[in-house]
Amino acid sequence: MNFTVVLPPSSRVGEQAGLLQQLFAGHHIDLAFTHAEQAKALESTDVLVSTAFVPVTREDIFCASRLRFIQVAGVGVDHVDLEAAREKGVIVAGVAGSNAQSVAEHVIMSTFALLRPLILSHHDLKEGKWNLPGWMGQAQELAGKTFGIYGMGRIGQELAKRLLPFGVTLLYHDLRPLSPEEERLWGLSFVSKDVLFKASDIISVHLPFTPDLYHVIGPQEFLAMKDGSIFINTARAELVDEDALISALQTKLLGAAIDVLNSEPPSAEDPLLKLPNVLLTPHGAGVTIQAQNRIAQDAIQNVLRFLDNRPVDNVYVGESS
Amino acid sequence: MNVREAIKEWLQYHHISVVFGNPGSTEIPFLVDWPESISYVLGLQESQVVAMADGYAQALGQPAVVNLHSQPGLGHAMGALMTARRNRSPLVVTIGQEDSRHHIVEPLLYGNLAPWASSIAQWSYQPTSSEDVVPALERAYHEARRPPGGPAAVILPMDYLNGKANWNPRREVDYHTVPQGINELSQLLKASKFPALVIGDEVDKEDAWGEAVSLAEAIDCPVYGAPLSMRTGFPNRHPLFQGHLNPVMSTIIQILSPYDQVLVIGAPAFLTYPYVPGSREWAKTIVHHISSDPEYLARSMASKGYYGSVRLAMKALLAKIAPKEPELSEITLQEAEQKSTAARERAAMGSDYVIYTIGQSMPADAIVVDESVSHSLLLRKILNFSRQGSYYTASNGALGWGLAAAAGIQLAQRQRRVLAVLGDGASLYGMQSLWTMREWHLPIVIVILNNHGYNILKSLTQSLYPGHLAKTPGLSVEHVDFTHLAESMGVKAVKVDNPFDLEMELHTAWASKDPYLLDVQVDPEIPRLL
Repeated sequence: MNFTVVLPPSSRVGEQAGLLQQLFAGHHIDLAFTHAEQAKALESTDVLVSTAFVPVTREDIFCASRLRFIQVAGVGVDHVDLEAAREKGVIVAGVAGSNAQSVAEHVIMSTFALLRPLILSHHDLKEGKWNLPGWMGQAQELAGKTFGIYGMGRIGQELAKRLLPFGVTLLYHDLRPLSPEEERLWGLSFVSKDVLFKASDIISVHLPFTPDLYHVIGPQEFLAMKDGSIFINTARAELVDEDALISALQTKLLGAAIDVLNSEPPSAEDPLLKLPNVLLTPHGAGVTIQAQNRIAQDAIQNVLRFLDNRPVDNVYVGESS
Repeated sequence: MNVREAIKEWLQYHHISVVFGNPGSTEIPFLVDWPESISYVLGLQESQVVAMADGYAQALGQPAVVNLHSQPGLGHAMGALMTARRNRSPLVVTIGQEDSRHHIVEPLLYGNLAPWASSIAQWSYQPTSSEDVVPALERAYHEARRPPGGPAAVILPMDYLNGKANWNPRREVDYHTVPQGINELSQLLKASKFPALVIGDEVDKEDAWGEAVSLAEAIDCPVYGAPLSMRTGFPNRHPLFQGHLNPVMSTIIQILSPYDQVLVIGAPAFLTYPYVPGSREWAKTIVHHISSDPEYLARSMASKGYYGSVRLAMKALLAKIAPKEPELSEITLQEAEQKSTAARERAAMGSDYVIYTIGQSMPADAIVVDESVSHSLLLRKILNFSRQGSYYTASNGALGWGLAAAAGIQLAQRQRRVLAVLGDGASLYGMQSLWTMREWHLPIVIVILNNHGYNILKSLTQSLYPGHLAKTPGLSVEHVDFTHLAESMGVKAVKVDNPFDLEMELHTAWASKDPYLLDVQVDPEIPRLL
């Protein structure tokens, strides 16, 4: 069987390629790093292991005459044309939750970095400014704050578990509330979206993106937020009206941590880059070495299931077996 | 009719169907030929029967009768009678006495009891003849009800009960009056920019929760619970409720100082513990005080007091203050905070977790009897009190009251469930009331928050003398087997030392038709008092 494996640009390519050759000995493996390389390899491939760095378009899917299975090695399958896969009868699977722990830690790191003016203070010091009075007037504890989690999937749950020991009050909103038992164990209170935005000192978004959730957080939500509160988005840029966020950052928010941008990478003129109270990261909240290893392991396990005609996990399109 | 018969008729005339007691030889004339229509509830020590009667009277809103045994029994009961006095609990206390024909030689059980009882009673009296006995009981009934309410004692020489009775009571007294000056007070409240209310025990005693909520919503102002209030008179999940004031004067002044007009309704202004240095003067805040207790008003820190019924006073105020629409939030953040804190402390069996879990398990109309001492502030904050007669505690900090009071309250309120929450140290002052609970099949859930000592005293020691706790004796109580102690009196009991068992056993306890005791091994962390 022929495989095409799309690898992310990283320093660990050689190590990963070697591992794949070892695991799938007896099968032909093409490695791809660009869309062109992927398209060429797809002409003769049965299984595509895809990452979010290279899109899988309708044309790619229909031109791949032998393609039967797409395993996404990552969380989220936005870059794959699922409708085309459905039409062509190609199974698409992902690896949900493998990066949940990394994202949760990223959110907590961002929260602390904003509550203590960490980045500004660091830059001040590097520039020779010893601004202790400024620090004293701004640095805050997390304990005693109300933390709102918008979206209570795996990442939201991992975040809640890690936040609880910090002495926060935990609120959440989701289309599907947790069971009372889960809420009690993790100290979570379900509230309406309106109350979540009104009552929280910090709000972190963990929704999946679907078209009906486009700009689900806009001017009305930012208006409801408390003065001096914090907004964190590590989910999807499309969930948030960026203009409304910028306006809120200029008028009322203490700060925001944004891992996902409308334009990635952003242009030099992107107004978010100009604001002093934004902490930006390159869509890497879930991309730690440990998470990448888990994602690779989960993806490989799913491919092995497919090869053995066993049910595959986290299916987005097609039957699991 | 002899006095023995007349006493039973007098009890029935006042619809008194329960008498609490612990008899000795001087009480035999009182007990013989007891009618089936009146229950004699036996407690195993006088302090316990007084506390039972105290709880019963409070829960019923009428005087309760308690029968004590001459000077040894009165001696045992003195502490509980002091508590009943401080609780403003109307009790008719009969105390047996040696036959009057040999008082002159001071026989074994004789004592000069009336002056002794008067130190804690609103009224005490030894009749001068058999004809005087029932009129004395009748007066005691009304003296016990006389505001602020409390014990009224009648000493009964044995021989008088065999004599001829004279009885012509037929007297009704309405002690409720409308305080004067309400019109002026309503104008001040209407003109106030930042008013606040402090709600106390009399609101609950007068069944005036509805009036208190309406008044708070009409003024649309924050509401505080009076510090250490023996009863609670306002729903603690109401959006206007800010929690109970801490019993520290400087803190009370600090919290209430932002308001221009503060109205204290039906509470002492203010009950404190412990002493902390600081000013007792108000800066700009004007404090008003309505109470049916002249003692409360006499020692009040308010600039103006209004004597009379708090319910009628609030009704009169409501007639003059047009209600505003309150802004109700969808959730009280306080509940979410408690849920998170409870989850955080679950593994360690922390106090927040244990009390939160108790609260989640109990029926909405449960009555809570609190003798949890070091956990009391937390308990008042976490448990949900939403209706009249939901919370009782001893107003003077006495221990040994809780179990007995719970029995009395359950006897008075058969249709509601009673939860007694006690510290391990406190419970040992009155453990024998478990026997009475079992004999009467009272389905009380008893939770002992067991931290193996007097944590309130450890906390105070740490606050007053930091670093000296290890060298302070007398504060630990180890090696008590509560489950065997309870089971020896027929009460089912379990020791609970982990969250899973706590959640399961609470469920079992509430399903029980008999008393059920949980010895809960709570995190012994010493709370910070000051």
